[in-house]
Amino acid sequence: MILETARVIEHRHFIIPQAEHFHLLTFLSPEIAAQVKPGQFIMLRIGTQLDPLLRRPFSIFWQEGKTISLLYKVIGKGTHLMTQWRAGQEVNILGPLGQGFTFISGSPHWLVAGGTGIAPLFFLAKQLSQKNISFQLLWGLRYRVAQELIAFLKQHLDNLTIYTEDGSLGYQGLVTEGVEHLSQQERPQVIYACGPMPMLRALYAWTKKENIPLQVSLEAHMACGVGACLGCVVETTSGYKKVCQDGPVFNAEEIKWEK
Amino acid sequence: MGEVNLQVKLGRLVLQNPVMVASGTFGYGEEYTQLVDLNQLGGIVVKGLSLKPKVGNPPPRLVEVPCGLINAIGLENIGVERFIKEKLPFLKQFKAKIIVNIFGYSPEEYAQLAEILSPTGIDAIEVNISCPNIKEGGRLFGTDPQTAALITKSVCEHTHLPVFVKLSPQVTDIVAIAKAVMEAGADGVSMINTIPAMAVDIHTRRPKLGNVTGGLSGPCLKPIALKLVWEVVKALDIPVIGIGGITCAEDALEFLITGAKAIQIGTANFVNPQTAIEVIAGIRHYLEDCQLKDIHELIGSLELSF
Repeated sequence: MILETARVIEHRHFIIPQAEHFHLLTFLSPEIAAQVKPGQFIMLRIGTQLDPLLRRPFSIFWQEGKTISLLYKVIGKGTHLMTQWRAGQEVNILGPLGQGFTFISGSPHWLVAGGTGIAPLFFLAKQLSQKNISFQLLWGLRYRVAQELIAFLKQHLDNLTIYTEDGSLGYQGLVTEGVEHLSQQERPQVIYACGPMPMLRALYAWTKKENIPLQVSLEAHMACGVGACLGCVVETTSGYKKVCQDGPVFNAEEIKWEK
Repeated sequence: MGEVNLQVKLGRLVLQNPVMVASGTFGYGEEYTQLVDLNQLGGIVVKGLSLKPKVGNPPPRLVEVPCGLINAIGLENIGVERFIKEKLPFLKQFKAKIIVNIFGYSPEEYAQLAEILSPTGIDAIEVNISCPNIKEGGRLFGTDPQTAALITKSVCEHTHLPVFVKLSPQVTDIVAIAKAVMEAGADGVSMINTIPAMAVDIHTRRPKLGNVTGGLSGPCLKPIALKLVWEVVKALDIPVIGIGGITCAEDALEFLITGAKAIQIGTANFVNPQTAIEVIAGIRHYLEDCQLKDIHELIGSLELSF
């Protein structure tokens, strides 16, 4: 866990009409880059002003050499301000934080992402490739995304399948439908997932029925990111656990999914 | 120019400098050891402890508002026994004074907590009589001078340690409460606790906190806290620990000039874990710039003539 002043070295904006907009932000952050593992996250400070006040948590999307990258969407004040950052901007980063994914032996592995939930899974995919573990990455979206983003993703891995709810890119349907479809061809040793709660809940119901281990990376509002404030808890079979310190990756069977 | 003196004495508690980290914002200390040199802090006020472990409120427990944070943690803690066994030995290795924040649901529970903590080697007790998250305890004790005094007396009668009482801002006359707890034996008052608050999600038409309401902290509190500190130091000759929205040395200096003898950093720890360290350095620089040799020359130096 380090506090590091990182520098923005590249900021790409994937914006086209009638599409989901993503932003790819790359920092020179040597100390954090040297330590971070797939599934871990950072807390970054939006600026020195007091509004927005708290740091914002982001999963690491990519790490290469001394750089780390985030893939994000604008969801509020903080992310809106972030889109204005240009190369050279200095940003205070706290990380790497939390427990990442746990490797399971055997293959294939399936990585199931919804929306920005692709971030920790893309980093995991990189490591699986390096370990020569065969895997599939399934990415569910509402609408299409810019071709430049797809090109960027495919430049690093070719086994990416996209599902959109409106059918404007890839297969039409939910990513969980893709999972069921793919299961007619092969059986995964493990599934790693990150995305909206309804997606994760549906996926857990399916993996439970099929008896396939599932690791999920959860999101929560956080203040400290280091386990001090107890603000980001999730209910588990053994009481409240801290998403920031005990997670963000949990074995799905630990989580109390029913609402 | 020689080293300036930052040491302050609050009742029977001596701190190497007036900067502490506030209860609930620094865990049990160990969470921040990789990021902050605990030897430099004046004191660490530990997350509020109860006799038995407490589970806390259902999530979501946090919501950010402009320049502030509303929390409804619900006083989740590991309980006093586990704290003594698992957390305290680690904390003792540092120079920072250990102040343990306690809360209970009856005067007897407060007394028991004081008795259990007394022989453990901690340096002081901070009594939470004002947490707004709990219906059955906390807040009720803090809003009435008699009950506030009763709790204070229960604690003081069961410990030799210095005792500080943390006051709620949600009262009609904070001076009356401060006076009552001092007469009951407190060494000083910590003020202020969070302000009861809430936020609503207009899309779901639901409260943004699982507990519906919570406590507001952060920079937006500072002017309110400062005014309440002013009311108390103006009326009473007692040690006041200023708390509320301090994010930098300038903020801390405002409290000290107003008359607080020490301060606590709360929400700002989340934003910048180094805040307390930077505040200590900033106070030292300010004193040097003003050619003051002792922090006591600054405390309560508020000049009212224009």
